[in-house]
Amino acid sequence: MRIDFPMEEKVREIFTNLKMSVSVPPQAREFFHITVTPPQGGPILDVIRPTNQTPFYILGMGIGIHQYHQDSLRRMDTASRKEFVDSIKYYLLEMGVDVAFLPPNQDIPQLIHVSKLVFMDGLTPNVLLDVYYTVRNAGTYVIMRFVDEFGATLGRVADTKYI
Amino acid sequence: MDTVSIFKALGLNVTEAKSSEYLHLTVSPPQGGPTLDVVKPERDSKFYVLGMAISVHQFHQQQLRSLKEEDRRRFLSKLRYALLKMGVDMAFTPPNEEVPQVIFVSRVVYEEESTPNDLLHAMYKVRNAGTIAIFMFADRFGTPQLGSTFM
Repeated sequence: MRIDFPMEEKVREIFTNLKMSVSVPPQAREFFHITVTPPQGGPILDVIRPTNQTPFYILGMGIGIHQYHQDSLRRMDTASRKEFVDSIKYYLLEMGVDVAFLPPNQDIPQLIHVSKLVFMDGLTPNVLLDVYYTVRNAGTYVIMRFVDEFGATLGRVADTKYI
Repeated sequence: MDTVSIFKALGLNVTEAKSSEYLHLTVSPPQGGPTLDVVKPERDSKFYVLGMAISVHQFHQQQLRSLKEEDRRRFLSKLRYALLKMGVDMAFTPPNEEVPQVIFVSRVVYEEESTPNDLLHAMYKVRNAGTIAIFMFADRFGTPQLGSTFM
């Protein structure tokens, strides 16, 4: 992992200046990969540039669906489950992000991934921040929908999927 | 253009608020309407926070309280989802209570390399997010009688 490139250094600095904590995930194999978290905790975003030839960054957030929520989905009847999952999909599309429900073509998602690309060319701090807001809010929306529908998972299992 | 002249160029009233932050401006339309706070927390902060605090009218708090729990939750969830879509930060105070007294929506603007349009973009987001919150209360519960209203 190299971070001594001007643009990557700038990206890192922008988030640091916004008082967020920035770290490099140990398993990262991409050319550039940092995770960004608000100081008081909260949603974790990944900022990735896959290779040094890639002209853009991917800002993404993966929301692992808690086992309890997966079980709750399983207990729903097919029509209500479809309606619930579809409504999340449509709303995310409206929020202007890329959406992946994983595994694909399954009734019950285990992971919902939201992301957005931003080109390096002409990238200013506020453009980056705009993408950050979009992705973070899309991810937060997913978490809130599950919590509102099925209740919080805190204390239910000693496992924090939503971080 | 500096921050103050950008807001003035838009015909808005800009006044400096007394506060502990390095810079704290309140910005409002001359004919009245939603007031925005513009805050630079410290001298060396690299960003501004544009925010709008919506005090939920006592009447609306009462109305919310009188709803069935499920309806109240549904109403507040809908509001939260709408604010998330607007791309703002949001805080309901007191947190985790069923009836919010103040809803705060905000957006951060990075100062370096910022253009007047970046500020304008954030201003629209915050103002419209705040307006959505106000409208959702008014449309659901009616407009409270004159007197203290949303700030």
